[in-house]
Amino acid sequence: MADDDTITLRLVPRGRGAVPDDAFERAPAETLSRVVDPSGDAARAGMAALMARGIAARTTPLNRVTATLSERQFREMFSGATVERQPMASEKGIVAAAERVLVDDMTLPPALRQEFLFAYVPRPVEYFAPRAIPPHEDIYHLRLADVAMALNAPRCHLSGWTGQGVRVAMADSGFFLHPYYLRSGFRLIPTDSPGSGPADEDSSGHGTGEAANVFAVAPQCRVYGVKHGSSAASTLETCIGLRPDVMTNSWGYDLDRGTRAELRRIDRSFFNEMVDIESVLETALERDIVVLFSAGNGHRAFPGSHPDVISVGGVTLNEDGSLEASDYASSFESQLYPGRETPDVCGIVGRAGRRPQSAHIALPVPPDSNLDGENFASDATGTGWGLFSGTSAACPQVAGVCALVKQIDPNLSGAQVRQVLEARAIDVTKGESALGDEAGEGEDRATGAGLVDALRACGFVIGVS
Amino acid sequence: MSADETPRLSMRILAKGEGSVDQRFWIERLTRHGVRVVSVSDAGLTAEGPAEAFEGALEVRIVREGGGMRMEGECTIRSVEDADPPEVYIPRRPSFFP
Repeated sequence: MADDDTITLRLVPRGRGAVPDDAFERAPAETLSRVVDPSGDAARAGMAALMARGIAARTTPLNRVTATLSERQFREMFSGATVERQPMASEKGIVAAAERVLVDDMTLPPALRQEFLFAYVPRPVEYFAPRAIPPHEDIYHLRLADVAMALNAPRCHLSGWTGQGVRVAMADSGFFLHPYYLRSGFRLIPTDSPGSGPADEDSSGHGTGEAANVFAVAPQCRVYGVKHGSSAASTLETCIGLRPDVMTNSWGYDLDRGTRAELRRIDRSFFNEMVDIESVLETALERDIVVLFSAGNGHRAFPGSHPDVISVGGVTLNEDGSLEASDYASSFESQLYPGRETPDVCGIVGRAGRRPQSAHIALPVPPDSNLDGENFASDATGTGWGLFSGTSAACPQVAGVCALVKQIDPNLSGAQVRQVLEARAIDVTKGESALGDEAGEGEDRATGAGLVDALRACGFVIGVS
Repeated sequence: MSADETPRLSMRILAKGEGSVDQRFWIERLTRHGVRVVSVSDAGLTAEGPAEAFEGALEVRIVREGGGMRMEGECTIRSVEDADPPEVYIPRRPSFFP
């Protein structure tokens, strides 16, 4: 350690009465409050003794003394003491300061024993919160910065396309204000919907985690995290009421398995719900809101199959940098909407149940939520991070690209934004989707037009790509 | 569903037109039966309350099924003589795709 590194000490002045060695073992607080001189005379005398040695010192409001010493001064004062600076490792559920100073022996020198009872180096406090950054994990996976790179977003940011001024509404399980969001300065606004309960509570962890995918691509957009409540239709109404430019939805129903007439006959209640949701979505589309839904993880998901939403599937980014259709993501021909094939485009999605690549992306979640520690090879429970990467991740990634595009041209309709994404997506020619469709040259059912490319999409809008 | 085992649930009542006669009729009827209307929009109403209260307001039967609830029969109540009865459903919980 260099000599100019400083150490902060806190010293407790001696009072008037004698204090036995074991006094603080019995009743520390009461004993200490009795022995510290309330007049402050002892503290001032101690401070003067320190300053006479060239040590910066000051008294505290309750008549203790703090002093700041160089390491040389520290060694002179506590002769024989060894000093070590130790990085503070964050542990489960704890965010710690950068380092702490360890001292093996802090017996006061005789010259200071008259003024002080004892001294100590304060230990940095620890915050019992999830970590702002994900824990180390040996298996291959992506961090959010990797996701941004895979979608070619950082080069957009250099051009000023960051989602600034764009409003994104995201309906999901809840939105905990994780330190990752707070430290990064991301504008995530938890928003209640009818019957939802507090929007910043998220026992699942799903919404909290997936929202990070939007910010990875569009770090300066504003995300209204709308917690699902009494019904999906009223949640969507809440989203529309926020006047968003983009609505992203990582949820659905695995029910696109028959015609509308069949669904009406088999499940009249859900048929009514589908019609209700369709009418609400129509309102969103009439207002030129870009609406995105996940295609599903092997599901046949409605509303992901709705013809007028952007249906988002998945492409896996392999460790060697190659791309292939994710065998975890859905692709299918809709039964509810004949002729409609999903997905339109893809984001980054992991693979189905094959480690090390099944769990692809490290995402922030509330500690003790269902997804806390999910898929980490080591026990990461309590860290406030999980590894998961279905089409729930892909959809907000693509929503982030939509936010960049809408920043450039706010007048683009949802249909036009979809055309832009498709026109400049990266063709994916390998792999097979969860439902057995193979990727190939050009547009295919497994990946639609392919993996969205933020830079090429933005370039297309300004007319340079 | 008997009073001693009545669970709470949400329902959508698709009485259209925000502020319409039809909606006002349903808000009054649901409230009178002990159901709370939690949102009103052009598309319809979202309401929460005990199953028994919904049964009274809508004149349908609500039964437990597979951990959830199902409505038996259709609501046939009309706000005025020439109005259609509203479509009514118990919303499903959406699936997330992590």
